[in-house]
Order: sequence, then C-alpha cells, then structure tokens
Amino acid sequence: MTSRPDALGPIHLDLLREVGNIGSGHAATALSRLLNGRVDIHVPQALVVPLNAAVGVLGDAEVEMISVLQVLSGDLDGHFHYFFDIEQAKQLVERMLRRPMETFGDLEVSVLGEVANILTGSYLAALAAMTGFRIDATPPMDARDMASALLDGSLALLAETVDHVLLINTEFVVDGSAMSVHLLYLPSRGALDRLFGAFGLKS
Amino acid sequence: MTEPRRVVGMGEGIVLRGPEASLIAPGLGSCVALMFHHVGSQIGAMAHIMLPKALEDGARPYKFADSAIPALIQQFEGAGGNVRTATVKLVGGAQMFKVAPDGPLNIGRRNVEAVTALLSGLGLRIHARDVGGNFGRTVTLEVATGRTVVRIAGKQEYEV
Repeated sequence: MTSRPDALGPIHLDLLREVGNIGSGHAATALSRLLNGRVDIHVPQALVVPLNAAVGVLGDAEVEMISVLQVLSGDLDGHFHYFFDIEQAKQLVERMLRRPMETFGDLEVSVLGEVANILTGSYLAALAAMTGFRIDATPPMDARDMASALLDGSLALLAETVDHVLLINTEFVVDGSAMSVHLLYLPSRGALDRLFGAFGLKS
Repeated sequence: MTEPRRVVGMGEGIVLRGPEASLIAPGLGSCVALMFHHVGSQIGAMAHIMLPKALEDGARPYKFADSAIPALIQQFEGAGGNVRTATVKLVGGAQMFKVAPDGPLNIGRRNVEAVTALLSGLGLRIHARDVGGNFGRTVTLEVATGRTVVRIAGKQEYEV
C-alpha cells in the first residue's frame, strides 16, 4: 500500500482537522500565556492539494511571505511548512513583542519561528497522545521571500515520491483580531498510511 | 507555439517562437530554469527543473535534470532550433533555508551541479548563469531578443 492522499475521503480530512483542533487547543494555551492575552486557535480547513497546485493555494507564486520550515522524523516524517502573510505576521509579532516595529528584520521574523514551533509541538503532542507515535521535529528555520521560492525545495524533495500535499489552515484570534496561518504538511512516502493506520483507517 | 507569454511551472518544459513570445519561471528557489535561445530563428526553450536525478521513470521528465535536458533539446530541435548554436543560460538554485550546505536539503546547489555536469557531458557550455545565494528569483526570457531578466523580491531587476 502506498500513500496516495488523492484517495483520502472526508473521514480522513475530518480526522486531520480533529487532530489539528486538539493540538491547537494546547498551542492556544501556550501562546495566551506568552502574550498574556486571550488567544484562540482553530483549524477551519484541511485540504488535499495536488503538488503542482500547492503554491496556488498560498496566492501568487511571487507574493512575498514568511515561511517557517520544520523537518519531521520518527514515526511520522515529512515537512511542516508554515506560511504567514507579511502584514498579518507583523501585527502578530508586534503583539508578542509589545511594541510597534519600524523594521521587520531577522529578529522579528525569528519570533514567528517560535510561534510555529509552539504549534508544531502542540500538534505533535496531540498526535502522540492519540497514536503513541514518537515524532521529532528540527528547530524552526525561517525565511522571507517569494512564496514559490520558499516552497519549491520541499516540493522537489517530496515530488520524487508523492503527488499530493495536505494543507491545514489555522486561524488565530488574538484579543479579537483574526489572522490566518497556512500549514502545509508534505508527507514522505508511506507517512499517511502509518498515520491513518494508527487510527484504524486505510488511506 | 506563438502565444505571447507562457508561465513555465515546476516540472514543465516549454518551447516558444515568435516576435512577442516570452517564457517566465516565477519564484525559483532551489529549482533551476535552463534556457536555450536562438536569436536568428527566434526560438526559446525553458525547463523548470526541480531535482538532479530521477529515481524512477516518471511521466514528467522536466522535473529531473537528467531527463529534462534530453527532453528539452528534443523539443527545441523539433521546433527548428539547434542546441549546438544556441545560447544556454541557467538561473536559480538558491538555498532558501539555513540547512546544512552539504546535506540533502540543499537541493539548489545539487541542481546547479547536475545541470552543469550533464551539459558538459554533451559538450554544451553555459554562456550565462545567475545561481546560488539565499534568495528567490523570477526569470523571464524574451524569445525574439534573448534578453533574460531576473527579478528578486525587493530589488531592482537585472539582465543575465
């Protein structure tokens, strides 16, 4: 059996959204503490996207975004790729650093790496609790550039074996103002079989 | 073949001709755009290559340098070009994230090395290149003139 995310049905996507929601509950608690304000996070959408349409879901190929990459290993492998809109990211970081920003430099961008890291840790903890999987993630790597340029390396590495990726849209509500973050999970070959297999589902 | 402007997506290879035609690869990161161009016959070719080497025979030869190069040559010559007298250019191959330079995640450098070695094995020289670094590039090839323009986020565009 090989991983063919195009064969995933609504039940698989519901499951992923559920894992996302449980994970984001933990993340919201952690971020609320960090911000000393109310943070709600939920996962309104999980989608299967053909590899060659992955950039399209982020907007224009050339639009500048901030991305945070974490490479997963262990019982579930692949790449976690967070994408932040620059203006929304700036607001989030200003909120976290409690000061307006004149520049949006490496330090400020690295704050988003920490936000992503908290989300990843929470999602992986939720998965581990539900499946018993042991999953490791590298420290977050961040970059700011054109969306396509940020993603093409991961797409290339997984293009060898996979034709589809999972898009998990996450919405943050910080003290009443909403911002969305896109998380693309690019699974390695076989990763989704193991994931759904752990829940007793075939993919 | 006479459409004015065509986007060459990841894993695609396109040949165009005509006075108004141009080929564009938007947002190259670790991917590379390999271009052949012939001023006299106003033919241009561009492949948007993702990886050095195919693991298995795939339906999309332009994803991989080792299958993309013969495929692009065949398509270019089928349209009346001659790769021996063409101008050859290579753009892209950046390292977008701070990964180990020699590790498997640094695909950009491996792509550039693979294309360079494969072309050299065919006795073909790269006349102009703009590769490496840690930033993305959009490259446009104007088929009639061979003018090749690179755009980088937040910077002035320049010719290669």
